[in-house]
Amino acid sequence: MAREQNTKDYSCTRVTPNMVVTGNIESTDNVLVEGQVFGNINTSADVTSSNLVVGDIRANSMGLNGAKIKGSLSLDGTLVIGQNTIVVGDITADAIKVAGKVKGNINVKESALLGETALIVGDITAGDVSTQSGARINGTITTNQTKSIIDVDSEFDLGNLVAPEINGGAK
Amino acid sequence: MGLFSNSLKPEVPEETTAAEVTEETVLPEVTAEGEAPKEVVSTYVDEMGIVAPQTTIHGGIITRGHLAVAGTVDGSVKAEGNIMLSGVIKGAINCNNIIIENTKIDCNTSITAKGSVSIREDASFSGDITCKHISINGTVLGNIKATGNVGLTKTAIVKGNIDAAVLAVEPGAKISGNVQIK
Repeated sequence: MAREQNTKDYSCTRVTPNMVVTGNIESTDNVLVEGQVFGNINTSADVTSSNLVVGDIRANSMGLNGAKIKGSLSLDGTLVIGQNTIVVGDITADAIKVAGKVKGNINVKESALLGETALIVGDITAGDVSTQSGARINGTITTNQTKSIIDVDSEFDLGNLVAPEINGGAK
Repeated sequence: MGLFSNSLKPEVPEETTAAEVTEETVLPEVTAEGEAPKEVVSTYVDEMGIVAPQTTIHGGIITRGHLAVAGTVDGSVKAEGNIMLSGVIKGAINCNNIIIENTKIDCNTSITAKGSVSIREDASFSGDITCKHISINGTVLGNIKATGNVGLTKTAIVKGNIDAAVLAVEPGAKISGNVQIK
């Protein structure tokens, strides 16, 4: 059979375009999803998807391009959400770059970069958020700089706001 | 909401329900006649899915292409194309051709292959096998039903019945079971 020559080159789990996996994937290999996965993906390596995942994903880092994900994403590294990608679910990552659509809360330790085609419906918490002109965001943004304000009252102290008594001493 | 409602509906092809993964298809070309059935036009797509060695799928797989399984699949596998199995598949296997090498499948499952089955010398399979042709260099614990040829080399061990149109056995092969050549 013709496939014999690449017998040993199975370093990456690959769900091809015409393939459907129904069940959870547990792995320490990279996982490439070009087809459909109905189940969670849990790998200590990277996940790349250009198609459908219905389930939660846990990975090191992740790249999505033209993907549809319904489930939460939890990453140790960077998440890149390309254009034409839709994610419905909460995201936890080290850093994130978004050019696609996300419906869910985003929680990022370091930087969140929202490109001009990004659409976020949900709250963003990040170390640092930068937004390109055109990005649409519906939700609150909290950065770590905001959180690190120890004494909010002193930051917004307007001084003494009691009006002096002008007529007080008049007889 | 309107933005998401359409695009998020997963396009689930009808064959993706878990129930159908385990379903055994009745192969139309399997005939009782010794006459070699007409070559079925393959419907597979030329792409090869991979279950890598350190990967476990807790469920089944359906693919229209080929599949290489070096890891573990807990459920059934249905491939229109060929399967290269050096890992473990615990559920029923449905495919075109299949090569099993360098592995021991002892969970008593089954293989239904439209084409040929090859059990390599370093492979052992327990379960029933239905196919067109089969060549065995390794071990099969189960019944074999082939509409075409069954070939056993000198290293072959079969514990089970063999039902075939043509049987070729090399000296040294071990068979324990009934043999029926129609």
